Amino acid sequence: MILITAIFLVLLLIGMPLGFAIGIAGFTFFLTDPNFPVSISSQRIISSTQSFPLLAVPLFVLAGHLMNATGITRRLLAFASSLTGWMAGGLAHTSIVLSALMGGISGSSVADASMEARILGPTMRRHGYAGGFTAAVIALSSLITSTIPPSIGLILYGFIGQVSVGRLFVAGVVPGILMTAMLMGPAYLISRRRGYRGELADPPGWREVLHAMNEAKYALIFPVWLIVGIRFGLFTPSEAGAFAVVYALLVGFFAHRELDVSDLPGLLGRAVTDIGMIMLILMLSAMLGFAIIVEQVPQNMAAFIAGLSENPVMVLFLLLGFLVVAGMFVESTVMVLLLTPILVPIVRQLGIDDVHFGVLMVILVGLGSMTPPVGVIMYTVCGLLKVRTDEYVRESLPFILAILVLLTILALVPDIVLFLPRLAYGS
Amino acid sequence: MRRAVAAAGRHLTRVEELISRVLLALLVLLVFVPAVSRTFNRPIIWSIEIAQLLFAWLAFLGANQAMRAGAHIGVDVLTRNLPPRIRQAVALFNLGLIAAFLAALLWYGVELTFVSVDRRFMTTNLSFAFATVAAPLGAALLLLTTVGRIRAVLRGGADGGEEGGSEPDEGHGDNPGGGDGPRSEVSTPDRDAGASDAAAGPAGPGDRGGVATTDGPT
Repeated sequence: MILITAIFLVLLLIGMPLGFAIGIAGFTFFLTDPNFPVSISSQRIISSTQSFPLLAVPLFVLAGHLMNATGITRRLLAFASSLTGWMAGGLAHTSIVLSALMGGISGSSVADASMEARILGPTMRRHGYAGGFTAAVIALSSLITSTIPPSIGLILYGFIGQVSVGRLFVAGVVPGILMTAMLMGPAYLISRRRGYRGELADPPGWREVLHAMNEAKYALIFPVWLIVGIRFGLFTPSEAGAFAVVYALLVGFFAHRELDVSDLPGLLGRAVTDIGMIMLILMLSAMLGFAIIVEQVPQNMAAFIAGLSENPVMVLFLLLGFLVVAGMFVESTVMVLLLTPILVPIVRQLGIDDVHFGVLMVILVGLGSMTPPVGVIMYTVCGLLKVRTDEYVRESLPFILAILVLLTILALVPDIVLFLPRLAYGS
Repeated sequence: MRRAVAAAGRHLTRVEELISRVLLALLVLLVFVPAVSRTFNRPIIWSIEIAQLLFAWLAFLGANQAMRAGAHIGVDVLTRNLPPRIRQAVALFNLGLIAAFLAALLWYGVELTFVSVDRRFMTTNLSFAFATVAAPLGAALLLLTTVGRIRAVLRGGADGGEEGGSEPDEGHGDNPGGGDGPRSEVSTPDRDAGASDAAAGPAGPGDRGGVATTDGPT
């Protein structure tokens, strides 16, 4: 295992794409262990794709691309702006609220961050918002998108850790909403101090807000419908993905009339690329996953942690601290895929709820993609907005702090996360 | 000769794009239709197995397209500031290792496919080899893309090992049929265009990855 870890780290540091770094490290296990024929490596790769729950990933990725093309995004933006455009730092709040609204139809924070960097970023700069601040708000708020269901991270965690995706989805709702509020706090204070004014002079009347809400109704009902449908067994999470695709098509063709048949090949193509990116990592990490189980890493790790402390809260914070550090270096999908099989047994053994831990874990590893040295979302947003990374880092500190405070509260008071899934599913 | 190879590469790319898009659309139908028909007490039991089988194919074809689009990103904090010659050497080392790994995957994938011919899916009774063959086939396609990238690095001399630093898919400039390469520049908000900016190194002139990079400056 030490050899495999060393190979993985070296390959990672010399710039090998993540999927291949994991794949080659995992493959060395089969080359060096005489007990397993090497062809098991290919077998692990193929079997990692043969799972019905996993089909939720490609379907929700496609649904996200389709929803963006149906004009839903623009309508949600108008609604978010009517809610918050009059406050100090109006556009910053609009970005945060838009991420929350997008959270209900999209499961990927990278998609949300790059969308907002394109359509909100330039506007914010024109209104005098500092580049670093703009990038920080857009990047950090996209964490809300991956917390509010549907969420690719939660699907993967549930798939690997054998945890109910339905429960995880419901559990993501309250933390997502709280995160929205927590991020608006620093955005407001900083905007007040710097004199970033709202783009609307006065709060709009109720009629205007309701009008904007009505325009965006198809996007706003979707998450409700999603959770209710999964809860009452109308569809499984994977089927929900297929329904989401069909829903987006219906809204795009018949309700908003903004989607054209000629758009479909391009949208399918972009979804295929995204799916390929996620799946290469998933498939190639299956070999390492096998090695981790064979070498009894979860058991050894659990014994090690039990030696450090037996207090569940203490252990939870140790694990979360570890995730913060590891998340800074490793991409979030990889973190979920590799660490879920190790951490979930440990957590269960200590009596920590696996749904509670899953939500915390997915938020934390997501945060890792917004921080240096390795952060996909940080690079995406800074690249699109032409903002220097150090400016971004300085401006993102208050927001990161807000999220860490929220995570601490969520870790200490599990009921905040768990009361909604208990209400929906029983305990 | 070179032109012929380049043309063949472009055709392969287009066929692969077409197949993978059709697969994704089929996936939606194969999951959606039985979910609806179940509600009307007409369960379709075979569709899930077909969907899973096709997903293995979609995953590999998609992985190859992501590689051509430069979407498989890595960590470049250490390599970014190296002198160009060393960066080129590191890139070649990475790509060489990837190629060797893919060749091994191809080899063992073929072996596995032969072994699993007699293994059957539960309800459809299809041979499991239809799923396992996706691994060697995908490895072969990825290997072609990797070889193309190695040639690009050798020719360009610039960076190029960093997947994310590459130019958009070469096919979309002169792609009469599709016109919408996986990364058309006028894209709606999507992640892949962003992801390539993410690791954006200086994209050198010869820094085009892909099967069709065999078209040299002739």
